[in-house]
Amino acid sequence: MKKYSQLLTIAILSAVLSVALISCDKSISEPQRVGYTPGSLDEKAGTWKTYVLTAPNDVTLAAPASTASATYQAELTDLKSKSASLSQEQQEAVVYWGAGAVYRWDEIARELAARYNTPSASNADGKYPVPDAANPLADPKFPFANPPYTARMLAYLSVAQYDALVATWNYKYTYKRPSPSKVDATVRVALPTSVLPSYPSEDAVIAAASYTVLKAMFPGEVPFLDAKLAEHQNSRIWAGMNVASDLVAGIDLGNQVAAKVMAKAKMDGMSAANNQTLTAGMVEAAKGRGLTEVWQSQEIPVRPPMLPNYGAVLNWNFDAATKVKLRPVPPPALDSPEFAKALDELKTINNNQTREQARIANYWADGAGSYTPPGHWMRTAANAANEANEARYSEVRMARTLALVATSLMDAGVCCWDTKMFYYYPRPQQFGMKTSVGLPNFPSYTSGHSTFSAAAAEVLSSIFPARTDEFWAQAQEASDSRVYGLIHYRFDCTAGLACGKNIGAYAVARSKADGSGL
Amino acid sequence: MLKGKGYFCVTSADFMRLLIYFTVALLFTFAHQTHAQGLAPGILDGFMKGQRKASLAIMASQETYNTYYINTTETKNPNLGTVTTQALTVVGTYGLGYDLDLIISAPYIRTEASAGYFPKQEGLQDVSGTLRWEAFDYKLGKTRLSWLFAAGYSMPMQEYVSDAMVRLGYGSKNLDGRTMLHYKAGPFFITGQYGYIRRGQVTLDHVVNNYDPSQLNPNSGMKVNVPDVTELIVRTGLVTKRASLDVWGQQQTPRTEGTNIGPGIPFPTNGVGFTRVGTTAWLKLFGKVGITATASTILSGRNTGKSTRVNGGLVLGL
Repeated sequence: MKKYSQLLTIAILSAVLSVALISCDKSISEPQRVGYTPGSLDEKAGTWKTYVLTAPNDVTLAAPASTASATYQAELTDLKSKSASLSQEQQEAVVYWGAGAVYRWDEIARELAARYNTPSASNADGKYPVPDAANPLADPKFPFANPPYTARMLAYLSVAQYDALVATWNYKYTYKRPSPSKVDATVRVALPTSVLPSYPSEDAVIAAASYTVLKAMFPGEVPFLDAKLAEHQNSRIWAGMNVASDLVAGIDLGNQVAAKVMAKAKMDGMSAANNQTLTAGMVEAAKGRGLTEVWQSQEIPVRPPMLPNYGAVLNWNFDAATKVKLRPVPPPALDSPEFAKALDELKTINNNQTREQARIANYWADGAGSYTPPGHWMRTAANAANEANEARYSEVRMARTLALVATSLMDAGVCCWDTKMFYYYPRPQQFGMKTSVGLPNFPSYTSGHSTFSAAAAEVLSSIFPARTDEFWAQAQEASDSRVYGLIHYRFDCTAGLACGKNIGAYAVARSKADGSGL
Repeated sequence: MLKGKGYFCVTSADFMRLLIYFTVALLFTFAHQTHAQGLAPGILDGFMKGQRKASLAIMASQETYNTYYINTTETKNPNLGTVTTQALTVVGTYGLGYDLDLIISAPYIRTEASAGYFPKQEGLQDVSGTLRWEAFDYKLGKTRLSWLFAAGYSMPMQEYVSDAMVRLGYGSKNLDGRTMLHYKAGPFFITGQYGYIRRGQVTLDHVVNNYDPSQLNPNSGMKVNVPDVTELIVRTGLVTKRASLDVWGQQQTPRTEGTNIGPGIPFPTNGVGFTRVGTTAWLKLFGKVGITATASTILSGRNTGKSTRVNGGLVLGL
């Protein structure tokens, strides 16, 4: 008897232990973003200053059919049938897109940047093949969404979204078509409603404008983007928010604006950003100014510098002459006491990096496989504008916020790359430092993280003044992280922060004069 | 009630004690969500210590690789070179009862790469505590077959960086459950062991940008899952009162798919597996002092270094 009771005991214990080991839930739950009623509808946004459009009526949109017309009534009947009852999948799509159209497309863009932020591997000849836009899914994939590429991609995306929404608000308040649920109270809506006119659909406008920009920026992702575009439009029907003609008009308007924005992108100098033939001249110029040891790639095999001519790409908020004026003063000579002091600080950290220093270095590293510092700051900006209990920005105000931040981030990238290639200053690794955060393959002075972060903090502090200290603390930490990560001297970081703040000020000046009164 | 080795010998007090141990282990699981390295075969074998007997082993090991597996593809990285990991591990074993041992181990680890710019990592890794229970002991003529269970818990002794190629460990808290069949005939023995290591979630230093939906919430937080693994170990050899020599094979398999090493992919979410073979020798020097040595190598793997390891140590009976 005893034998069996013990067998039973062991069996039960084993079973309990196995269940504990194998079946405990390992799912990770995080709060989901949900839709909200904007704090303000921003009725006058149709008059706000645009970036690429000269005026909202640069793009055209025919007047909609009257809500009393048979055409509209037929659309309404169709809408009611499609929104009456939703499958689980449809409900999830409604909630996902309901969090904000600009918010979600910005998030999608960042996700793509992370997926494409992969430097090419060297081939058998010890060379690094250059990604080919005509063959985007070959190895290496096109694009290599490094920080300069990602900054520019996010800037064009945000500008297209913003300009398209200004035009949208113009036509919404020109035609004043009420939303379906205001026309017919029996329409079942799944998201918060407002009195914002529904023609054209702002969601369709954002979807089309974003789709066009992202398709050009990530040509290998067309099927993925097609699916997002279709789901976004469908979600507006399922949610009872837009009739079909609202969406058709939105797609048309979004496409028109995006075409103009991408025409500008083709002319901004990015196609020559990877002109490696210029680097020999840059090295000679830096040596001519007295630099005794220039930057050299520390990778095996040696990798050419990242986009050496990105510093010549057009800026958004100032001209090329201003860019040269914004360039920081020269870094200390390599035999100067200032340099020795900065290197000593790094040596101390190299010998005894604290866990907190490692944490900060890792938190802000945003290296390969991430959506880069520009993406990190766009996340901060989008979350600040989307906080359901605080800002609750309308789509157009969200787009304005992101466009101000994104254009400033691209300006920061261009200025910083101009500075880096102008001075061609060596990295601390050329003086014996290690690094756990990944060694960037371009010159040291000034720090890109510092420049990006200060530009973003300057703009965000102007838009959300109550959070000024928080944004600047983050920018300072991002800047410090590069010293803790041992890939920048302190002076790279202080010069980058100062330059970034000046760059951000141009976007702030624009924001004060864009007619928004914000 | 029977006492001593032989048939079923668990007293009700023993049983209550076991129940408490298992309950504590379970509570740990729920409270912490666990992770880890698994117990090296040298640490967990089928030989019971004996009531109120104890031993202390101090082991030094060196493990090197210049090739690692990205998924299952062998890769050499000129910007990494050869990675060398040295460890000093203290293992204490104490017989709580004639059928129940407590085994505690704590390693101090140093790891560095010969090329590139990865900094050296050094420090205390994961402390583990394991209860080994000999549930059954059959005498079959002059041979003996025993059936053992073990439950272990391990956790990092410090918050080391786990999301890096050159790192001390996984950074997770782990629960380890296993069962063993141990057969001994004269000097010959063979032990088969199957285990499941449940690895808890790890909080990274950064927000994950490039995620695998099965590993992370799309909202991209800092917390990630570490795939659980199963482990199969077979070990056979000869043992006398003066010396032992054995060979063993260990196969660790990720239970969930996990990710593969890649840019932006957190290292802890990678599915890690390997097949390792090794040999271990033990020699009694005098009195209660013995020495032990092990050599092992990885034959195939997934998202891990193709490493060779040697270790040697001093075993003191207390």
